[in-house]
Amino acid sequence: MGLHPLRLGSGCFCVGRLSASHSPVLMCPLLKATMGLLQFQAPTQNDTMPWVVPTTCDWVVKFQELANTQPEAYFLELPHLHRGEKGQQRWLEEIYGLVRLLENQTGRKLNRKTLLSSVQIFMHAWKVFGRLIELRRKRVLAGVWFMVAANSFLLDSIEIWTERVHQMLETVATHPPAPEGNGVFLAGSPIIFPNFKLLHLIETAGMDVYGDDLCTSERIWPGAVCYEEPSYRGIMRALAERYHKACICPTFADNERRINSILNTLQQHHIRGVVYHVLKGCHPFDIESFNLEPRLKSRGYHFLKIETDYVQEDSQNILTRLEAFGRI
Amino acid sequence: MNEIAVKSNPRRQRLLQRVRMEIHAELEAARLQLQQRADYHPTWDYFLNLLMRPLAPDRLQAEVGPSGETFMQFGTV
Amino acid sequence: MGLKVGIDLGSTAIKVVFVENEHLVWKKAVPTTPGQTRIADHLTAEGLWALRCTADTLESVVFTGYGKGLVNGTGKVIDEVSANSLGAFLLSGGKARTIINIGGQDVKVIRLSATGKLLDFKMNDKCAAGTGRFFELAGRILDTPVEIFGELGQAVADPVNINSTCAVFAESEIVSMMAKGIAKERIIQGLHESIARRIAGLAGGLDMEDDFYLDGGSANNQALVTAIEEELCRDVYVLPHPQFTVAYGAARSVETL
Repeated sequence: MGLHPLRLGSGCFCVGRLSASHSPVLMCPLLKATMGLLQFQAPTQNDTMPWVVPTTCDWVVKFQELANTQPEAYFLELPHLHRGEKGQQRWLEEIYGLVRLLENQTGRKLNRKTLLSSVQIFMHAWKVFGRLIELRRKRVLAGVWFMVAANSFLLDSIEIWTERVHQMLETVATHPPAPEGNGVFLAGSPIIFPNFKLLHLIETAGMDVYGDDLCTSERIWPGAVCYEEPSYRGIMRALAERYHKACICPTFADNERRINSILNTLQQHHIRGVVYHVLKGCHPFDIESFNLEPRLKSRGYHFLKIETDYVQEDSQNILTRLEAFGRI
Repeated sequence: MNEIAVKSNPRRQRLLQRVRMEIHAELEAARLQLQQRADYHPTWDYFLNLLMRPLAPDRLQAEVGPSGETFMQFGTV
Repeated sequence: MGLKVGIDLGSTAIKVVFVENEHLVWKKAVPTTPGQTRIADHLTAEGLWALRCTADTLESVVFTGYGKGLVNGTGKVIDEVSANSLGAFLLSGGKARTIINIGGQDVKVIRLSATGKLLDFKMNDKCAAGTGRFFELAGRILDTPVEIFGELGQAVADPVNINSTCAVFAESEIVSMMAKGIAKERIIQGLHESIARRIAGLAGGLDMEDDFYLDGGSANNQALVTAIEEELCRDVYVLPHPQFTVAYGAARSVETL
């Protein structure tokens, strides 16, 4: 339809103070920073284009109300049960609603051909991204660089981004792998540039991230979109299913799949510990940590929960814990 | 809305200007930290530039993409 | 004679120990001030002088604690949780399985295996509640040396309930209690109980089948020990030289590093 999604979200610490006076103290720092950045927004031609807000956590749901800026948000109502048919059906209706909105905004119709072409473009990008994941698992690509590439997804045209990732892979693939060391799995709240504090501290403590389940990193794709029939409805159903049923965001009530997914990665890639990142105020990830910790420990994996925000002052405290974790 | 929150307030303008500079400093410091790593390669600059751009205060004025497409803003999922 | 030196550059105190074979032969703690490495050098020289030894008898020097990153040049470095684990395990004669450390700006609960291997640990984040700093703050408000908190709190039968786990808000809670004329001793014992609750919360996620071993500067406070025992329903043993456990572990770590 000639539109490109642009991801909102910021890891910038200093801008948070612009939103501090009109937001809760314990608000998710990611959204607080994003809200602060919106203070700089100037009226543009894009004001008529709404933000599309999937109703994930409470902070996201109330974001428009707190930010009080234009344009208006368009809420994609996310059913919080996603394993059953009912939730998936409701989500599919939401996707059709979004299509209607986009058609009204652009005056163009979404058809089977353009939808298929777009799915293929995304799937090509997904395959290239898969190679990136592979290089990180093989210690050829440092965890921090993986995060740079993943974080920049949806900040440019998908084709250009994919091409650049491909070029970068050609360069990096020739590098020798780093010596086998202390690989960890990073789970939990999203990490967004420039706040790479935790990644740098993990490296300083002599470890590296071999895998993660962050929605700004490895989890930007839930996997391949598989359709049984390439009809318009068939592709729409496959898209809805893939991005809802396969999503392991902790805002879902029936999220057993996340634990299994983490356990699989740990087992397959011989990763012995999980560093669990909780942004202060990020309740869904915090809540899930209490279920995840005993489950992982009972299978012999180590678990370290780090609750922090965008400030730097707790770096030494976190480093102490990471150093000890690396020695367990 | 209180007086200081009004965008035309000159004090607020100065505050925004200060924060704008702080944002750039924070972003630049983060970029530099990555560029000074032993495993840095110039290929990464494309991605680093993208990360610098959307956080820049003028990001929302630059929503037209390289091939003329419109970028639509999505919240994080 | 080979001397092993362990230097714990903590947030509130710098602790230096000299170990000969496995015996702690000299120790000293001074408050942390700027120029930590210089102070550590002075203390090392003081230790050598006290033991009538020269620098060439030093077998090893190992640094630990928050300031360990400031040290350049000679000496090995070990993280404080590992140093604490080793120190507590050795000083307890190999009995310690669960250790509580109340440091200057953090509280740790550490689990060890039967061989002294670090199995798991919990540590507070940047909040100062329940730490040595929290005691210092209370001592200043109450105009009472922290060293006699244990003595004052021990005889109290009806301690006040201090609700706040935030050091800053606990401060205002204490001020308001003092204004109401509540006896200092009751407030102090209330603080001990509040810290014990905080430690219990931290230890809650850990498997706690064994007795506890307490170390850190606050471990000599018997009223605090009793409060922790009551809260955790377990016996708490205070390690010998509790303030120097981490430095001792650092010194002995050369045997395993």
